[in-house]
Amino acid sequence: MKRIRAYTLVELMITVAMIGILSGVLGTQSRNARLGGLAELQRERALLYLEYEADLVSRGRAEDPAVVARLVASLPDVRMDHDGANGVVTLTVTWREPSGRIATRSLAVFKKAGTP
Amino acid sequence: MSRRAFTLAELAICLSVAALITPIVFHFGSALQDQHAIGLWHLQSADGVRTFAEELRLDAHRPGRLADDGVGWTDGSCEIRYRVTDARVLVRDAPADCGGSRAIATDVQTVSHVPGGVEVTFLKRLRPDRETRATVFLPVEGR
Repeated sequence: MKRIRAYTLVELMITVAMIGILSGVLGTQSRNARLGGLAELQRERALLYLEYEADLVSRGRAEDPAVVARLVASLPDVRMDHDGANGVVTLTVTWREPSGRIATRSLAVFKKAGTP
Repeated sequence: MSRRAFTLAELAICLSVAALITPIVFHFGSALQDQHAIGLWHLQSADGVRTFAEELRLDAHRPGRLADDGVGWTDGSCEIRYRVTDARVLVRDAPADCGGSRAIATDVQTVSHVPGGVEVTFLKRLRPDRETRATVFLPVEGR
C-alpha cells in the first residue's frame, strides 16, 4: 500500500493557533498605542477646560457658553464639578477616555475675594 | 534512482496560496503601522498643545490684545505672531525683547483666531491617500 505523507489535523491546528495568537498580540498592541495617544490628546483638552474654569473662578468671572461648548466638543460625557469652602474651590473635570475608562483631574483654586 | 520532486500541481497550489496571503498580510501590516503612527502623532500633538497653551498663557499677560487678523498680540512695542510654516511647523515670531522666535509644534495644518480663543488643527499624512486631523481649541479671551 502506498504511504501518504501529509500534515495531521493537530499540526495544522497548532500552526493556525500560533498565527492567530501573534496576530492578536500585534493587533492589541497597535490598538493600545492608538487609544493611548488619543487619550493623551483628550487629557490635554480636559486640562485646558480645567484651567479655563480655574481662571474664571480666581478672577470671579462667569463662563462664556460658546467657549465652553468649543472646549468640551471632543470630550465625551464631560462634567465639571465645583466644590468650594473657605474661599478655596476644588474643580474636578470628569470625562470618558477612548478605552471607555472614566478619567478625572482636579485643581484647587483660591476664589477671588468678594465673589459669591 | 528515485527522485522526489514537487509536482506542478503542488507548486501551483503553493503559488496560489502565497498570492492569496500576501495582500492580506500587507493590508494587516499597513493597518498596524497606521495605528501605531496615529498613536505617536496624537502624543506629539498633545505635547504641542501643551507648549502652545503655555506660550499663549504667557503672552496673554502682556498689556496688548489678541490681534483681529491672524493670531498674535500687538501692544505697540511688541508684535507677536503665531504662524504655520510651509513645513507645517507652528512658530512664534517676535523680537528678541518680546521673548524671541521659536518653534512650538509640528504637523500643524492651520492656526486661526476664533471667538474666545485660538484653534489649531494638526494634520498627519500617513500615505498620499490617507490623512488624519485633530482640532484643539485653546481659550484666550478674557485673560
